[in-house]
Amino acid sequence: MKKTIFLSLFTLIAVMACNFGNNEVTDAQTYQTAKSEMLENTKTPNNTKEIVLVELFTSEG
Amino acid sequence: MAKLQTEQPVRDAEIITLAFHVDYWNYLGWKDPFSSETFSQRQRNYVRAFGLDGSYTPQMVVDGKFEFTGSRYDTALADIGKSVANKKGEVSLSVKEELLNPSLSVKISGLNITEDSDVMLAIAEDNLTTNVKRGENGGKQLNHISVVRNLVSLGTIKTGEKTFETEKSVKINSDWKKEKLNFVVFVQNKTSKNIAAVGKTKL
Repeated sequence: MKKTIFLSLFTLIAVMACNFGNNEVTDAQTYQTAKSEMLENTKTPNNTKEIVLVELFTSEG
Repeated sequence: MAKLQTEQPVRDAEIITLAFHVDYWNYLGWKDPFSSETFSQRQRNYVRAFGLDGSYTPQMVVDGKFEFTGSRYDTALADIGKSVANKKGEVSLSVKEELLNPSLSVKISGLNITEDSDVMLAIAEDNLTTNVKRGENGGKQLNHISVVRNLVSLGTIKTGEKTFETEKSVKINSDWKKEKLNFVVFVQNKTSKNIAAVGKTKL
């Protein structure tokens, strides 16, 4: 009986430990994805382009 | 020029356009309502810097570095493409609406200038139309974008300085359409006339 309880407890702890580990991986992946998305959102086209000034000297007359 | 502004045809380049209407053709019978002696003087400064024989229209100037006849679209694309390699400082602008005139806050950083430079503000208006009654374009209706209404100095930057900050109250004339105005701030080397930084904002 004692052996059965011990085994059940052991199994329960092992399962919890595995889940805890998995959650850590999932959280880390979620964080990385969110961070990448955030960086992508702030990288607007204007940030990657060089601004060039074009002047035209003209007249209507 | 409108095509350059609206289509932005050069990859890796964000094109900001300014049209300066000169006044030296006004004697021909039609006074250009947007013309100014200040703009003719600006062109004469370019004539000197480029070692040209004299002023002409239409003349296009790219980044204060390249000049050519304004109707040569392919040359414009090529020179704008070359200008992408000209790494400039960053211009951050914000406008605050005040009771009388808006207040423009200017922050420039990351400059790499090897000669003293001017910081200039051009106020330009889009979507202007005129019916020309006389002169070479007599009888035509002309549409304009980026017409410079006023050009004012915001200060100077000494050789080697990396940043510049100022706040300026901007006078808006009653006949300008506020929603069509662009505020263009640029840094220009005094002698070479090269553009060292440029940025744009609206009201």
